[in-house]
Amino acid sequence: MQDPFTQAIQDLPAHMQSALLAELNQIAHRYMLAEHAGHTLQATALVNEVYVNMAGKNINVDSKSHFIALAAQNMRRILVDHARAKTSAKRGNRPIMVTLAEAINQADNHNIDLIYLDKLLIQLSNFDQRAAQIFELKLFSSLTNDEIAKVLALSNATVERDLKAAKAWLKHQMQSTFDEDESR
Amino acid sequence: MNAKKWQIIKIIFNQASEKPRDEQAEFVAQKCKEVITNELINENTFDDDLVDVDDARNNIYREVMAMLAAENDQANDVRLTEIVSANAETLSESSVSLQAGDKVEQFTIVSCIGEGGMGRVYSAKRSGEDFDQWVAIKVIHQRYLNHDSVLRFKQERQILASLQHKNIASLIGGGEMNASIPYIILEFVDGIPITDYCQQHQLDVEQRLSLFQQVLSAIDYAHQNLVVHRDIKPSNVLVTATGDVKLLDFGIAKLINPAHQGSTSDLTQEQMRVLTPGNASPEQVLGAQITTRSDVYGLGTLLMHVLTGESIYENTTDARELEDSILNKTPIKPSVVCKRSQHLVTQQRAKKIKGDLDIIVMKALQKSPDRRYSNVAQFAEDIHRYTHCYPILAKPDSLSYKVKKYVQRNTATTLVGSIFLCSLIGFSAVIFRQSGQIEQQRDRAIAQAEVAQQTSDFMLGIFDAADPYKNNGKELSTKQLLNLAIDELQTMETQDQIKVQLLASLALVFNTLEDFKTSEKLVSQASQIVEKITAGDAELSGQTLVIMGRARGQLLFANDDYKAAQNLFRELIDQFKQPAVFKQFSPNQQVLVEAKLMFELATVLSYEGNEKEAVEYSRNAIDLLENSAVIEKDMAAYYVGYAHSLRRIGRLDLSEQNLRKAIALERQKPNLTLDLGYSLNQLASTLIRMGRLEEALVSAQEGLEIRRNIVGNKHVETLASQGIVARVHKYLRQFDNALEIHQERAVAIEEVYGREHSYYAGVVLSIADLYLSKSDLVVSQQYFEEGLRLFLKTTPNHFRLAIPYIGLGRIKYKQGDYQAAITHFKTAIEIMENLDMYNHSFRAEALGFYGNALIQTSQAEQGEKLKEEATQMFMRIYGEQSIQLSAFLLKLEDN
Repeated sequence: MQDPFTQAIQDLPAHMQSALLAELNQIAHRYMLAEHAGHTLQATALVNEVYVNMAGKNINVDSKSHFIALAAQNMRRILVDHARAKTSAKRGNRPIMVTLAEAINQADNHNIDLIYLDKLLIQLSNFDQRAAQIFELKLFSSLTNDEIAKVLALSNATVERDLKAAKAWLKHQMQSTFDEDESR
Repeated sequence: MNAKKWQIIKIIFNQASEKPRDEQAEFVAQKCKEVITNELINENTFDDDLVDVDDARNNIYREVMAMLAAENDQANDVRLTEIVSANAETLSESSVSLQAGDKVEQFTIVSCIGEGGMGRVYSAKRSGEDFDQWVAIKVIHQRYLNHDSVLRFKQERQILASLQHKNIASLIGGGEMNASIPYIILEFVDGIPITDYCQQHQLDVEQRLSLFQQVLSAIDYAHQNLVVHRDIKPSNVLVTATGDVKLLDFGIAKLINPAHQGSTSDLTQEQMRVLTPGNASPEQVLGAQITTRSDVYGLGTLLMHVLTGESIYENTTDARELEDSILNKTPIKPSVVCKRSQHLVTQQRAKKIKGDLDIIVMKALQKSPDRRYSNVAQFAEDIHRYTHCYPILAKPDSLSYKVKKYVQRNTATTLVGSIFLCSLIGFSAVIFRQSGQIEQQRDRAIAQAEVAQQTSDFMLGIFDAADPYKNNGKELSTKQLLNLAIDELQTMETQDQIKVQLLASLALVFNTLEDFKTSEKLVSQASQIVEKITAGDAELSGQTLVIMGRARGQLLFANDDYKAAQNLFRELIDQFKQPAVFKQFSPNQQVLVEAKLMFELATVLSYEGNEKEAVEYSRNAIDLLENSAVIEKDMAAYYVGYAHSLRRIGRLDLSEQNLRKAIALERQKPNLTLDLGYSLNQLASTLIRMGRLEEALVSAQEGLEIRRNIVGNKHVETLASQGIVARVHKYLRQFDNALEIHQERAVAIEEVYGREHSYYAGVVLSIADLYLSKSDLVVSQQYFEEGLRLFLKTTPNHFRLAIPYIGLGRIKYKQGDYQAAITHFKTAIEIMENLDMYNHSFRAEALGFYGNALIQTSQAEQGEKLKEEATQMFMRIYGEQSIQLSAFLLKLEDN
């Protein structure tokens, strides 16, 4: 039995399939290429993860934009879940047979920041869903503004205006966190 | 926040952010006033939050101004993406991890040794009484803990269980931790990636291929067990300290048996496309069907990396560009990659790789699976063929290629070596070249093209027969090959002229093989056809004329009829230079043929003892070649022949100079050559003459080593080299060293040629001479007598016969039996004079000793005269400073 997602992908024409997958790969790459070249491997692992996660869900893919949007959404969810798990893991119980230890975490603050950012995004979506989605795409898929406009079938100007405002608002909301950072 | 309020904020913010910074506050305040009216408040636009218009204006003003401030605070811009990527990074890094000391079954975790595919790999050990058993334990990542991945993980276990091969890391066990996290226990491979191993050990091409063959063997085995590896890359191919290859990570391997296919495999296939590593095949990138030929491609990328030290698309990091490369770009040939390398050792590999290995790698890396090797066994066969110098399968038919391969694999094993085949190929190549060059005479050009075609077909057939893969696995010896050629020729329907040329060129080959009987048969057969042609009023073509002439001349030479051979070559040169004949040859041909004929004449002259003229002809031949653009592959032979004659006439400096030219030429060749060994020996001979004995010894010993390496211990060339080394020892008065070498030679020569052979007689005499030098007269006499007996039996008419008589005479002289000594010396002199060899050193030696003996028998005056004559003669032959002269004078004193 194939899950509906895999089925949906396979029903797409071949060129579409590879375009989709290339897109997904691209997302992770842009994401991870930020600074260290060594990140590429992790990016593929991440994409893999996004993919596997999506493949396990009962989701219909009707378009490329849908797919990418899903990818970004997934990326966000995975990361936030992970960040949550990390901040709470210290108190967690250990399995008896093998010790499941966490890798040394040097990024506690980033975990907390991400969780907060996620909360703010949820807030934003309550009063401006479009801007929240645009920003989610921007942050978790690293698409360019043009691409986001295409994916969401919006004008470039709209995307840019929404992004600008959303970003300013988020930054403003997070200002306190940053300030704390500075003083550390 | 409420949506309507946000809309207002957004609009004002966006407009304000377009304004200059110092106008923003005023603008926002103005806008707030304009937009936020009492009407809006009355409509309860902002819910219950803001019920006062001024409050609302202030509130929104503050919000917008805070956002504008945040926007202008660019330092924090990167922060948001940073938060995301930092989290992504820790997510990738964190996973289920075992720690040192944790137990899995009876194994104790030692450390994490890597991350591969979907899991982490740990080293672990079980302490035993005698030794620790080390294993690798692979545990799935927690984030892969979903149904499909677990299935896949288990599939790897299942696949590994079915594979037992010495080059595949074997499965020891496996199970599930906490009933849900699968793990695999594997043989622990203490090794490093194959590419690192090659680099660390500075392996040469052969050693690299030998490692790669182990990989091939493992993959071939996997394929036979219906498993495709699908991820062949250096990090999955480890080499242990003992040089054993172990293949790892069947993590994404797939069973090709359809019964095992299901959604899991399809998913794996999809994921492969997402991964797109540099070693992915085009079909993997396209998501098309993965077959064993995908592994052939993977092996191609691995071989590329192993040979060049660089991965196939080394500098491509961008995913799209990489996919484009994999799908559309023809990889750069490995030899070219090597040549471009900054490392000298890598550059040096290019020569070896160029040609066959390039072709093999490129064949494996074809974009279309259909054009690759159809299976790994075939790939392996071509590597095997390459390492054993057989023509590779991937190479199209070409005569020169097949000949080259035949020569390569036979230099070391047959007595014949490469010389004769060079003449064969030289012959057909001559025709090939010519066919394209004669433009002014269309008819002849067409005829020549026909000759070329037929010759080429003929030769191809012959060399096909030599390919053991087409001959029930048996390698044909050179002799068998040639006999086959003769048989073919008998039944061949072709033009007379072509047949003559083929017969004569075969005769040339047999001459080189010193099988003069066969050669004579061939030449007489050819002669009959020649008569038929000329009787029919037709003329021999220039080509036929030259080849026939050379075959006949060489035969005369072989029969020691130097005079006749000399005349024939002189006449042949004249005929060749006749305009009607000369113009039948292309400009390059004209040079090559004339040089060859002159050089052959020089050789005959040298044998005749006419070194002066020999020097002239060989120098002319060399000048001709050096002043033209023609490339003579045997150029070194010309220098050596010239140097040989120069040495004979005492032009030692020039001789040394030419030998060094020859040596330099031979050293440029990729492999050691017999000609290099020969040139070094010749250099040793010249250095001996110059009295530079230590240098001579070095050169002679290198020559000996090279020959021994190429043709083995018992080959005539090796034996000859030993002779020279022994000679240097003798001059250095290291008689025991020399004796040891000669005794070793004697055993080998007896084994190869038997006792009844002039060659054996020669070594016997060398031994006799050394015992004489050591003043062991009794033993020396026994050896001289044995040598004499053998010479009389094998070559009774040869001037060498004088040697044992001189030796026996010297023994008798030392024993005080001067009459007996005189008889022996007189016999020696007679032998030389009967052969018209008045100016030979043997005659001089005999004369000198004869003189000594005469002095002892009261004929002092005549004796002194003879001694003086002998000394003068030695000086003429070897020069005043020569070691031969001083050795002779020493012997003369001694007697």
